[in-house]
Amino acid sequence: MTDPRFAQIESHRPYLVRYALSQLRDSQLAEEAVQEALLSALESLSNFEGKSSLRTWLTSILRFKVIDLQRRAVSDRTHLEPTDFAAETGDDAWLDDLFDETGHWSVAPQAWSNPEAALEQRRFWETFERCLDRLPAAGGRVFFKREIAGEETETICKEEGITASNCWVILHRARLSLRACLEMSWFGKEA
Amino acid sequence: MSLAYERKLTPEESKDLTHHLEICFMCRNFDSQLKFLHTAAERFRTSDT
Repeated sequence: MTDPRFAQIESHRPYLVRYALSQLRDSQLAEEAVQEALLSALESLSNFEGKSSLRTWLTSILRFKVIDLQRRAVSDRTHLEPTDFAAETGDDAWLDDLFDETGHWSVAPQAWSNPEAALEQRRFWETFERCLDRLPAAGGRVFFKREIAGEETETICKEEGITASNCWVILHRARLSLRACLEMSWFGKEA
Repeated sequence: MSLAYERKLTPEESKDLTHHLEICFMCRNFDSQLKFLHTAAERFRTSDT
């Protein structure tokens, strides 16, 4: 009989691809890393003792695969050029309309009703992922590294080839964008 | 507010932010929402559901 954890492992694939994409910036390489990580996970499933969440365990396996692929990419001289952040962040210009010419809110943020309850709902997480997908490429990647993967800003700056202040602006705009998306797609409906 | 997630604010910045939050209810809402995003991101990292 098939171990039910196989299906559980597979259910984390979208998250793992997102993680790999944030590190590798190449969807084909990201898919490759995830595939290798999932195969390794299946082979060593008996080693998973449940001390951390399954997602955390899978991410730790994937991290090694990503590093391995990054090394291979460097040695193949196929690594990506530094990001053109100006081009990648161009589609969030609408965020400027959130503030008036004095820098104050144009549309006041309303209090969200019982947001913690949303964390327990599967449909909220589907919305959350859709909103992550809508972030501009660079903003989404930096946000994922900082807020979800928990990387230090300094590390992100180095990986992305940007200054700390540039990184802070990108993160701020990503947070504004994600907040607006959740308000429109989830909390606005709840109100 | 967002910057406070990236580095420790100076005492002066911290004092200004506290004062600003006292008088700006919109900013208090925004601050709560930033905290929520932070919590949600953390949960997303470890969630098995």
